[in-house]
Amino acid sequence: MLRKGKDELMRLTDAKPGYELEIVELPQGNIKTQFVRLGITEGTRIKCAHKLPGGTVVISKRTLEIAIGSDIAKKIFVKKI
Amino acid sequence: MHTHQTNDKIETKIESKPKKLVLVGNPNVGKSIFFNYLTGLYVEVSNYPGTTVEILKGRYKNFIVYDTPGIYGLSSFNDEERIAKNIIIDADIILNIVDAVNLERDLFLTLQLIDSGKPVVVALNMMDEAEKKRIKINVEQLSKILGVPVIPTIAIKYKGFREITEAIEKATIGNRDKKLAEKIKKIANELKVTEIEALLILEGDSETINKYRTKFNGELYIHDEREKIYIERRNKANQIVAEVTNIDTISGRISNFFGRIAIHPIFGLAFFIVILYLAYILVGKLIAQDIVDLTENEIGKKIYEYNVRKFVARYFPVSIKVNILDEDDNIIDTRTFIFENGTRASETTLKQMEDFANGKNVEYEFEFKNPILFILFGEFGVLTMTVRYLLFLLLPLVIGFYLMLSILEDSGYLPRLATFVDKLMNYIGLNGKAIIPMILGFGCVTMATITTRLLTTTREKRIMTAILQITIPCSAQLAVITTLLMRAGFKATVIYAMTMFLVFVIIGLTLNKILPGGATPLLIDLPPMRIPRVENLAKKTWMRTFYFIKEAGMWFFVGAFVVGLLQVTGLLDKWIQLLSPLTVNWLQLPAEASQAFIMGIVRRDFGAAGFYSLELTPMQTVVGLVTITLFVPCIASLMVMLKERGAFEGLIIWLSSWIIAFTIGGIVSQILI
Repeated sequence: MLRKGKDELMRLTDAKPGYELEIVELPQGNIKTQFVRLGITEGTRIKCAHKLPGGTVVISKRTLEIAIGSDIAKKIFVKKI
Repeated sequence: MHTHQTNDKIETKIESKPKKLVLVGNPNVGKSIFFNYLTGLYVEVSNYPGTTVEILKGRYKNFIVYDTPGIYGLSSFNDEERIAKNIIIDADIILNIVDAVNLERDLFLTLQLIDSGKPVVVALNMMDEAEKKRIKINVEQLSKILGVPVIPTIAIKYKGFREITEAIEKATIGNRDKKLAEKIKKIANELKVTEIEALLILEGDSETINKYRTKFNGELYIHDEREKIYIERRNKANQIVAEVTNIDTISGRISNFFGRIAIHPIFGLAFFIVILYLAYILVGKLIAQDIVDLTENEIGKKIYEYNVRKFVARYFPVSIKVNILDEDDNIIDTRTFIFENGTRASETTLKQMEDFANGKNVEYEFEFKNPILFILFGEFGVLTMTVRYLLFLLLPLVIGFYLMLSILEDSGYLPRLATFVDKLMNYIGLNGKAIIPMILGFGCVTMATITTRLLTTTREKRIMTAILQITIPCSAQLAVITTLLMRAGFKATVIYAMTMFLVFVIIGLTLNKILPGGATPLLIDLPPMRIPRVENLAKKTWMRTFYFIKEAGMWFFVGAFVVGLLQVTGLLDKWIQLLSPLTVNWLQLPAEASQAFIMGIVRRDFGAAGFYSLELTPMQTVVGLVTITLFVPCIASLMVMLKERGAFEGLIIWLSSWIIAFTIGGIVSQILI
């Protein structure tokens, strides 16, 4: 159920630079494993730091910056906080 | 690969078997500084058995010290992880280097290593940067929670290193996750595997599971609890960080000015262009033109080759052609002197020759009658041209390119560049990381072909190798191409560049389409941008250059030998004749151009240089250059490709480049001429 407003679920590719976000869903399997290792799990709060044309997204979490290819980014669901 | 087995045998012979100390850490945590400190100068580079990734090995006291590629965890997602994992499996003691600034990220690996049941020492590195970012870490408490020694260090200042060496001697098994440790022990007993392997089986590591596949009765992943274990470990790491660190909230921005503009959609491009320009000044101008001109022509040709041939000519039959040159290197007079029994035996002829050449600007052409001497010391001689090529042309270039790569790497720019170009690379079935071999290709295709190893999947390596070998001109060839295009004019240059770019795109798109699968999506951690350390750059550049010469050097000699044989047996001329109808009728170039193509098989720039002497119209130049660029890479490149990609795939790529070169060249010719 998509609700308008603050809790609206969106794909990471749709987030704009500067948005503070909470990770709601990560893609299953190896990709999730890699995120968990880096410190990103469902529920982690991150910031959308940069967005490149084509959909590659850079997110940040404290001192950490991670670049995510568009194919993964569009499978990550986030909500604005 | 075979050498490793003999090494093992030697190692086991040493009395009081040395312990294996393995350095493990996330990428960019300063691991190499620790390794260099411990091992000093005497470091051995080798391939890990069954793989092609280089491993550094050295000695410290009674330890054999291994460096491993930077990893975020123990698993088998790519070659580097597999190798690191395999070395860790055999480790006696682990020195885990942790970035104090990114403790939360790095602790996952630390906890995993502790869970494996190996004795661990933690070096908490970059304490100075953590302090700058106002991150306070309670080291004592961290050590207590983990149950292993934790030593705060500042590697670039060698701070804390003495304490590290003391701690290594008394490394202990840390506080493992109790429930997990029980499961590990049970599986280790049941399946008769080591505890670390039992952990990997529990974490669903495909490589370990396949190794013991017969023990699972067909249900391979029966013990796999990866997601649960990972999430618990992640939560534990986060909890520990919350307990032991105190972060001042006004910690400021994460990445600095350069870090941010490097991935900015618009400024990022400008930044990239500036970096490329600086790289061009360093490698393209200073090294490729000024230094190589000095080393290749002055030292390589006029001193090295001349003296080697002159020495051989003393004892064996030879005819020496002496060309007198004017100021612009045009031949104004020429004479040939024949020595039936070597120059030593006929002093009068030698005297005549010396008088003829005396005080003038001359060029010598030695022709040896004996086929063996011809192969060794002739025009493409194994001991003349190959040595000159390898030492005086390639070596400076390879050093230059590896230096550039090391600077880009250590400064933290490379991952950002990979991010920046990621989407574009996706179109040709690659991800941003593939930019590295591509840039290196413009230096030396052979070197770049070796570097395709850093790509994750076979599919990516395949695409990249084909693109490199077919479409990317190396710096030696680029220099000749530039000169010829200058002569042919602006229009010709534009047509050439557009054609090459178009072919590049078409080949990339086609391969992406026909090969099953897709690009591995990018998922990389961006380290902060920082000024590289000169010492590290020097060491890295040296190691890589050494490794390149070791890996590829031999193939340059083999290649020259094969061509020498073809020349002596007359097969080379047959080949040139065979090719001429294609050159004349289809490409509409002079018949002599087919010789240029055949020379292109030996050395890329030889091919292009073969057009110098031909009177080509600007459009013919374009046709010739397009064909020769797409045409097969040099023989050393071919050899390295055959080794990296296997004989079958390598030959397909090689033959495709013949077909593509002549097809595209012909089409361009039919349109332009």
